[in-house]
Amino acid sequence: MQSEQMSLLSKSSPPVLLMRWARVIVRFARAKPLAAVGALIIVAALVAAIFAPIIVLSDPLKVDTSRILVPPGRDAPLGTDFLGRDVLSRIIYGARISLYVAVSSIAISLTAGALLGGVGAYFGSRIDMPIQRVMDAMMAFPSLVLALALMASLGPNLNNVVAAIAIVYTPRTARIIRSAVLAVKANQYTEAARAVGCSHVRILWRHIAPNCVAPAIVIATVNLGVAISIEGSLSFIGVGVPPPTPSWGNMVAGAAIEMAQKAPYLPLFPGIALTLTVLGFNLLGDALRDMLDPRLRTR
Amino acid sequence: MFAYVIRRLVLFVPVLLGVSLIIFLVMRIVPGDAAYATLAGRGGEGIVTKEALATMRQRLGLNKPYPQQYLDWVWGMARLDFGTSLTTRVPVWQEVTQRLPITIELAVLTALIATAVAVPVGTFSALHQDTPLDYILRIVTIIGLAAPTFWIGTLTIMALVRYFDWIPPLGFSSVLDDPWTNFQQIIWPAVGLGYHHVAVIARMTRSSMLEVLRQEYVRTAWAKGLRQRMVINRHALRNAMMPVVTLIGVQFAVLLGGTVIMESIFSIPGMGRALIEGIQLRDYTVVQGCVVIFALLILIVNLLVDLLYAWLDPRIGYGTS
Amino acid sequence: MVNWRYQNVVGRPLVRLSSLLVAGVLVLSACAPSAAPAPQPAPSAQQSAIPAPPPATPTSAPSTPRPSAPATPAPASAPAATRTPSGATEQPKYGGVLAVRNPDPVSTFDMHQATRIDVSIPFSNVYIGLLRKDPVDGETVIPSMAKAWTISPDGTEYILTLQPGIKWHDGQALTTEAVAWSLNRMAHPPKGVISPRASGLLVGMVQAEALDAARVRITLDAPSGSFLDRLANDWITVLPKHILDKKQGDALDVVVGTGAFKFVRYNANVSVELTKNKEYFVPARPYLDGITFFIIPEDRTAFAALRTGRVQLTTVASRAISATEAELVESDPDLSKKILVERYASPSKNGFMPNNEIAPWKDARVRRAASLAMNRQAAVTIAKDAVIGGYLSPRTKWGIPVEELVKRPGFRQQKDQDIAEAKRLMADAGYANGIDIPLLCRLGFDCEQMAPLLGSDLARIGIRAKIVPTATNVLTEIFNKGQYNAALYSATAPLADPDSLLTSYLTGDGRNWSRFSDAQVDAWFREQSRTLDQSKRLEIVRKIEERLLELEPLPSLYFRDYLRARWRTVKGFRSGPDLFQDENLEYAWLDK
Repeated sequence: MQSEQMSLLSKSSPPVLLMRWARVIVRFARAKPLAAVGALIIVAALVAAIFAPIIVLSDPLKVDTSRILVPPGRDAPLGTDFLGRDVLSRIIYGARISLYVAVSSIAISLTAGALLGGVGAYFGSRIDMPIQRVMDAMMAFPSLVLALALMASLGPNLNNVVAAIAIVYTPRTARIIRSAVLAVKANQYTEAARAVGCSHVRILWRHIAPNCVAPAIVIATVNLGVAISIEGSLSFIGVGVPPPTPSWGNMVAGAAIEMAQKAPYLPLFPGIALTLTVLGFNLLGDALRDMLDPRLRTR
Repeated sequence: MFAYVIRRLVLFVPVLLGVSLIIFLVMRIVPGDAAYATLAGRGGEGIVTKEALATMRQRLGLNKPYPQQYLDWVWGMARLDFGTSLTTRVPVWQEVTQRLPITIELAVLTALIATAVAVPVGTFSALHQDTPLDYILRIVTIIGLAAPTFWIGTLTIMALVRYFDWIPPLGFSSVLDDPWTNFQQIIWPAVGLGYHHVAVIARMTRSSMLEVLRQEYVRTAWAKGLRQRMVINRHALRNAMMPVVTLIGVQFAVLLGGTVIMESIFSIPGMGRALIEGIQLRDYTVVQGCVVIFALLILIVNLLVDLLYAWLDPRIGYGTS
Repeated sequence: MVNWRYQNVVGRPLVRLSSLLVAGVLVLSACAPSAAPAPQPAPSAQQSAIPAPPPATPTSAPSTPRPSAPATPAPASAPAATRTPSGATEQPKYGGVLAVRNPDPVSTFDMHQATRIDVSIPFSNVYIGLLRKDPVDGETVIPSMAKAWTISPDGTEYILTLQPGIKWHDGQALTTEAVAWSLNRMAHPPKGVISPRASGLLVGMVQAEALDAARVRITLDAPSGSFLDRLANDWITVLPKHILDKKQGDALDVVVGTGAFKFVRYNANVSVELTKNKEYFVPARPYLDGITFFIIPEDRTAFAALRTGRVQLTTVASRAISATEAELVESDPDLSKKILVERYASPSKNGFMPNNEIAPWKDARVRRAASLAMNRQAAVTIAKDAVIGGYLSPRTKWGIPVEELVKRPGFRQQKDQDIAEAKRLMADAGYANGIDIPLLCRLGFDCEQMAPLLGSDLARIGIRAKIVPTATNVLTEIFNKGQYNAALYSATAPLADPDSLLTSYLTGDGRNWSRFSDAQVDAWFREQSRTLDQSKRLEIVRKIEERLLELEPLPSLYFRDYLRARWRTVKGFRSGPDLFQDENLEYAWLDK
């Protein structure tokens, strides 16, 4: 009976596979409802970002002077801004910008952090010390301040934002990876592996790296949310993504006056979108942390 | 313990040097220098002629080679001379002494408000775990974690303008001269900024409290029949506070970053606003000075937190490590 | 049970710590110098007063400042002691402290060396010059510290007679030596002193000298039709020689002038406070008791401050109030009852600037094609508070009027013929397949709205523009070095006079970023500059504009108006037409 069932399942016809995944997801959702909500939000944001050109109602950049500051209604579910552009469409495109910035910058910082922290910790204090000094110096800045200074120098530009955030978060990532690597190093088996004659690369790849994956995932998820928040702040101040490209940060900046006068709801929506997205990443990050490594409780 | 403190203080120096070098280099990555900005202004209405530019460069010391500029600056810092603002010709040290207390007042007030609100909220949440009220509080909390500071600040001031036709008095009054005006000026940014930190601290308090409540000695206290309040106040709360204290220290850097934004939105003449204006006008000395001071503040707060932690938890002895 | 030790360990220290912290906060914030401004009377939202009976004081009109015939010297004029402003017959009221917004911290106290409005906005009230513009019509030159002036027959000598009894704010008497010294310092700054703005205004001045205790003579190198106007600009000020003689470079740390308001204090980064000068040489003025300039760098916060009445007058130029904010104010009945938005022609021009020295723009046909393709009507609609113009703003008396311009190719509503013609020109010049160019633009409005519009216009004739947003100061440097292909141009002239408006088309001029060069334009410019007869000047200026419209070195998109907003309780002057002439609030009064 068992084997029959097994063979049935192992044939993995699409409906069966789907049901299997559905069951896993439902179990996950019931076990950790908040994380499921978070994941849902992120998926929604991803969908919005990827399919943005298809799902928007109107061109987010097109200036339409005939419908300035229209309240939310049938044509424009979230209203139009001071140039007649549809707010909902701009928010959807804003998701694209925010996710692009977040994913790129965190990916870069993960790679750089893993290299700097991991390699430094592995090869011992001669290489580690100078790297750590530099990382400490970089961490002595509040992240926003360093990002601000970098953007002021590099100039407001989407890719500069990615670079700036990557630079700011590399030291923090490096520190986490470093402690994970040190924990592994403390175990005897790396020494044993060296004694047996394994090359450094092999040890790094087969023993060290797998142990770093868990903390890396956790830190990456949380940092994705933070990256989105920082990009928003930079765009708000004016040194981030420049208008007319819609970024949630510069949408709030551009709508502030309108709120005071005619359209109080205008700065509300981009901020809600930003909050929800960061929320999603936070929830997911928490759940992952609980699952993967409870030792990382202290943020 | 004393040796530990000295050792930590000594370690400030290389970190600050590193910070100074980083910010010095960052501010000079691209051309478009302070002399232009000083003459042209942010609105671009200023007039920039070649002669004026050359004289201005000379006056501001921008013609010297970079290593010399850096060394001059660092050597000056050792004597508390942070240079002169390139745009207002006021010594940066003077700006710092005028503006820093304002930012510190904002930061400390925010921290106090946040702690005062967050600890009871977190405790309450922990004690009534999984009740509807707990869920509501947790939802409000996690929103506060995610909501960006600039958004809260903008909504606050624009709501004040629209619904009350009022903004806080301009400028800044010291709390001793005119406490009511000072209160009006600082309470709004403090509350706006505090929301995020309330969320962080409340969350930590709740989870820390939950952990402590599960401990043996608490259950023993219950068993002994001590009243709930006594148990909480005398045993659980204090032990739960320790990670919270560390958290406040860690959050200080984030707090400083938040004051930068709030000062800009509410037009408060603190260090954060100096930083933003300096960045916009490419006033190197002001930006460098502010950043170094911020870094110093963070290092000091981290040290204080570590010491506080050691004081609170006698098991941790820094003297011997 | 080792944990029992924790019991009282944390309790009392925690309380102690908190009280320490609170005490620390109090101490620290006490150290923060109080930057509280003087309490402001809340502006009343009353309607403007019913016109009072005709003013009691006679208003003697000043003599004409523009001699139509160089042969006869202009007659001396009696000072207009009290002139009622704005054409209305309201009697100015005395009293009140006005709150104004300053966009940045004050960068220097030495007005000769300053170029930015954060200096001129407060200090135009403390430092004044010899002449000024009428606060009512904004055009006529009227006396300030000089009560009369004569111009020599050949137009190269101006003799100004000072009012008697003018005193510096520190009590010393004003001497003609100090006046001459100031003028020379501005026109020909000594080593270590820069004077980019003032020296630009005094171009052509050879020297100034004190003739006697009451008269100053200014010598020019050639007659100039605009010199009197330039002398009346707010930036031409007399600074205290007796103080500056002892200071080096840019070290002025006191503010002592001769104007209607005295400097009280500068609360760094917060405000500048001025108070009424009771010994002002015009006993009836100023009307205000004082002025406080609040430093608010953030434009959003400044608007909130204006709206709630914390400031009653905005700053000037591009940072005053944005078109959106102005629209919001005017479309709200409650707000427009309280707040007035003024529009005046700015001498600024917004256009498409190709680099005339490189291909393809070297060829005038390509430039003409670009100009034909540009949709100026759309630009004006998007820009709001803007007009179509040629090379000089049609709102000034110098530019070709709008009605005439819109009949011409390139400026007219119907674009089909123009596009066809443009394509033909491109083909003639060898660019039938079009061309790809980078288009630099300033961050903000330019890149946000104008660049896409221009890009789509140019794309219709095959010029494919890639938009490159750039920071303003970087742009200025790029333009100065000429390292660009094409850009969106937006610049202001310091004065609404052809001498200032047309310099950017002169060969080799520092502001000639388009790198255009035409000997005819240069020659005509010299001619109009030396003509004292304003109507003759206009003829020549027209010829220049027509030629520029033919060669199109910098096709214009629109000419923007400046906006300024104030509470309706602030009366006595109007803004414009020159940017720097209404910062002197000597005639302003508060109607409470």
